[in-house]
Amino acid sequence: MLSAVVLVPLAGAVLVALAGRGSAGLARVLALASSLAAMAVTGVALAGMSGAQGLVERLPAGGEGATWWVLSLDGLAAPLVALTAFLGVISILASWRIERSPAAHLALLLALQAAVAGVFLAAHVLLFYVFWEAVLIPMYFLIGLWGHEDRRHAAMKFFIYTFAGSALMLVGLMMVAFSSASLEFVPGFGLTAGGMADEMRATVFWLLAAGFLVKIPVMGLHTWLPDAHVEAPTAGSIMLAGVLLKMGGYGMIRLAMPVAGEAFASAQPVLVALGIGGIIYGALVALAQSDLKRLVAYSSVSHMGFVVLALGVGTPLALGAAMLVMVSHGLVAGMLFLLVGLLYDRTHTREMDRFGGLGRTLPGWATAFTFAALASLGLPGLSGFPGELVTVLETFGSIGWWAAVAAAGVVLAAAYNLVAVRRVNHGPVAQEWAGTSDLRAGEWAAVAPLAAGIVALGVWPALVVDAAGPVVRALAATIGGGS
Amino acid sequence: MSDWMVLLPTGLVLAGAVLGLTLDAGERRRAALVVIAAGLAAGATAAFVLAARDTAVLGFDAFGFVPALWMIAGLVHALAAVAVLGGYRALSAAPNGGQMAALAALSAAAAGLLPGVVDIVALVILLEAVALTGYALVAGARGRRSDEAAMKYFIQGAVATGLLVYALAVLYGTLGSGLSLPDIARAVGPGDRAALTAFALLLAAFAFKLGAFPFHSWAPDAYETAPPSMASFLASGPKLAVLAIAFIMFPVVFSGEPFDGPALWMLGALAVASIVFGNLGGLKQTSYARMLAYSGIAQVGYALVGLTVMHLVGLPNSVPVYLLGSMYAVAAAGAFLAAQAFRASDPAWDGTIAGLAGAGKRRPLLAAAVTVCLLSLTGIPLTGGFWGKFLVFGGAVTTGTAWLAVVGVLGSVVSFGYYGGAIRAMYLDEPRVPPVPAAGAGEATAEGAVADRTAEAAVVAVALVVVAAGVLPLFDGLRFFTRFLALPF
Repeated sequence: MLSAVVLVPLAGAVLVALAGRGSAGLARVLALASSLAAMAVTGVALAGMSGAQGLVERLPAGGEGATWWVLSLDGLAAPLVALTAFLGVISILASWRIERSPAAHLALLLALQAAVAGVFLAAHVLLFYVFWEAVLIPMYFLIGLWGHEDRRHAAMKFFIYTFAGSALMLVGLMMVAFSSASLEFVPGFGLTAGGMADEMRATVFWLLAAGFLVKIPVMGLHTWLPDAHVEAPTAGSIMLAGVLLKMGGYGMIRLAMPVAGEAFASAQPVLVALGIGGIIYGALVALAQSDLKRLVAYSSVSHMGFVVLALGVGTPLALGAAMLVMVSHGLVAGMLFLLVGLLYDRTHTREMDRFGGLGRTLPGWATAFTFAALASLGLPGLSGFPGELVTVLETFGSIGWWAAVAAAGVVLAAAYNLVAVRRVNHGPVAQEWAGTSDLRAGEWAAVAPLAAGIVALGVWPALVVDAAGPVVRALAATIGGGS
Repeated sequence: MSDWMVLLPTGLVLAGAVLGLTLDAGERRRAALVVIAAGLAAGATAAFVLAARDTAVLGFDAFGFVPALWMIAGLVHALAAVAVLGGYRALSAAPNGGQMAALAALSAAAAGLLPGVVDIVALVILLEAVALTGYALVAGARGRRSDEAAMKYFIQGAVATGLLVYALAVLYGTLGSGLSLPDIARAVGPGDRAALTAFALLLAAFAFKLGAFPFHSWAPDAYETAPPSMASFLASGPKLAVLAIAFIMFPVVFSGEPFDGPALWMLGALAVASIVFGNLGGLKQTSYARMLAYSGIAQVGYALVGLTVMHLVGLPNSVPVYLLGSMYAVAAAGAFLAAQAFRASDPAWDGTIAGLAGAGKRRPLLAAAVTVCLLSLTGIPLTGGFWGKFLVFGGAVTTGTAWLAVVGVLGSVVSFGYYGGAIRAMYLDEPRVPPVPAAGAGEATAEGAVADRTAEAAVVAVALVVVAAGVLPLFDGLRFFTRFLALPF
């Protein structure tokens, strides 16, 4: 069943690429059917998951070490696997109106979904790396072929940055792989490096973290992100911000931090500093943007700063909050990029100065955008609130009043989100968009589920936190971050 | 019987080559090409069957083949067969096409015996046979530039031969050993200055043959000017064979004191220099074939990382380097052959990377296959090239030379700058000149732009092998490779 979560979208990609070449309509229907089928098998797999150790699957069936195709689904992976399947459907809907080689575009989206699901499910060091790199290739072509003006540069930058990070990660993985007996992850926990000396663990941690921190991305290693997010087509931005960034946070929790063990203590201050820096820096730069998509991209840097901060704090609650922020950001950023993309389709501009009064000209779009912006700034009751609140509280417990700096990030988030809403939705009506049509039913079909997810996670954050609980408690105990 | 068994694959290849030359002399060039390719394919099959028998085969006190070495020999023959078949259309159009194919077969026959050679006289003869056919193949394009490249290749190769013979003379003469590698290994004692000199000379000679920095300067010209199908063989088959014998010779003959320190230093320096120079040089290239030639320098550097590691852990750990070498050879053969197919599909192509713009649209299957080969050369997972690099660099990590692994992976990142540049050109760049034929030349262009189906099919076949080698290990944990590539001694 777990293999099906990877193989169904992959088969769908092949099917769409082969069968959909002649007819765009057929390609769309096949792609949507494939992504819905992937969501269905993901649902079945999630329903079948029980206990802290979750499901484990080997192909071909055999004992440990017989094969490298080892997948597992536990509480840590489950929310992200579900998010991937969900955003997979949304991204297909978001690229419904792509005109340039729609079959290839949709096939690449499905292949991307398969690879990302593989990253979250892989329970073998080598398989993990294989999926990790496999993600790069469809994303490279999605940005490079269907992106905006500066797409070729952005695609190359995206590839080189993440490839450089993952090359160092590969050295770290090799140090683990060739020094421990089992290359498989411990069920319900993650990678372990039994018997490795402490100094060695710290080295391995930083090598692995190099790959993950580029992906999250932390401040300083983030410069690929604005380019890639802005230049990518809408569906690409949704997947990029929605799930690809989460691969970094997931990798930290699943691989880097368990391997570090008690040696993690020396890395904590660095991560906390990087996290707080990212929160403030991302928010300030977002505040300065005039391009709406660029604003959303920098807000991602800020939100992911909360994840890095929470990882650095390393208590069970903080780690649970990191998961919550990641899933929430997947939904919120997905919705924001979708809305910005839908607006761009109509107006062919992202300059906020050229908008104004969209609340009157496009009331449906403006309502959805206001909702997403409120979710992004962390309004209580919506998904952005609980994760960031817990992160700040746990940070307070760990480093005291310095946490106030992180809290300032929440204020800044309110600033840039509300400024964007004011400049786009309110003020004098920009006459050039007077005749523009509002969201259609098909577009609401992509927007509404995201909004529903944001509300659901806002009122019931336990959905993610409880699932991830056993894994993050075990991890926190290993790194000495509390009971 | 066993003695002659060693020569079976070579015999089949030679028979095909001789018959082919006869047919070619009778003006039946297409038949000649088919016969030569069939002989090579038969030789490859024979070698693979011998590998699968899983026993060592010895012959004439000069050869000692184990399954892994038969695999290499079979691969060398197969690569030559792919080159001849892939170049079928171009070779059958060239006046000397039949002769070039026969030369490639002769080169493959010699290169196929090389990995199993034990006697140093046979070693020199085979290496020279490979080199001489190589000079002739580079000159085969019959232009002024290719003459110059072949001359450069010849002169530098002659120096390399001199170093090789001198090194072997030092070993044989000053140590009073026999002529076989095990004899020499026994005679080389601790603290032998002469042996250390021989080591350095041999290393330089092999570095010439492999095109490692700083002995590389013949390579870019040779591979750029040779006919693409022949370049595809030259850059893959002979290189793989020479790597294979180097992987055996250095650890067998020069193990232990006094080589540990200096050997490690020299091999490591050569590896790092090749990786750095090859990758940085590759970034600067505008010509597709030249870019591949520079990338070949870097790839030899990765293989030398493996050789350095083998010095530390010994011969049984040779699977990684064999895998790396094999996967490089296969992917490089595909990438070079693609130049042939590109030229056929667009006669106006000037051989530059930028000139490939739009190839993804014009020839989607070909472009996809080349992309697979280039990603394999970069070392991206799901291609065979990844496992080769993974195991070689992994070996470096475990033997305390992690710095070599770091140089290697960073080199791989840089290499995407030019491999990815070619991919970017094929898919993302718009063709600079729209492919609208001018009024007068319309007919000629339309006639010229015929798809070279055989070259395209050869590249696609190579790409399928590369992907299979990349995916299969996920399900059987490299057992497929270790079964065939492990050296049982």
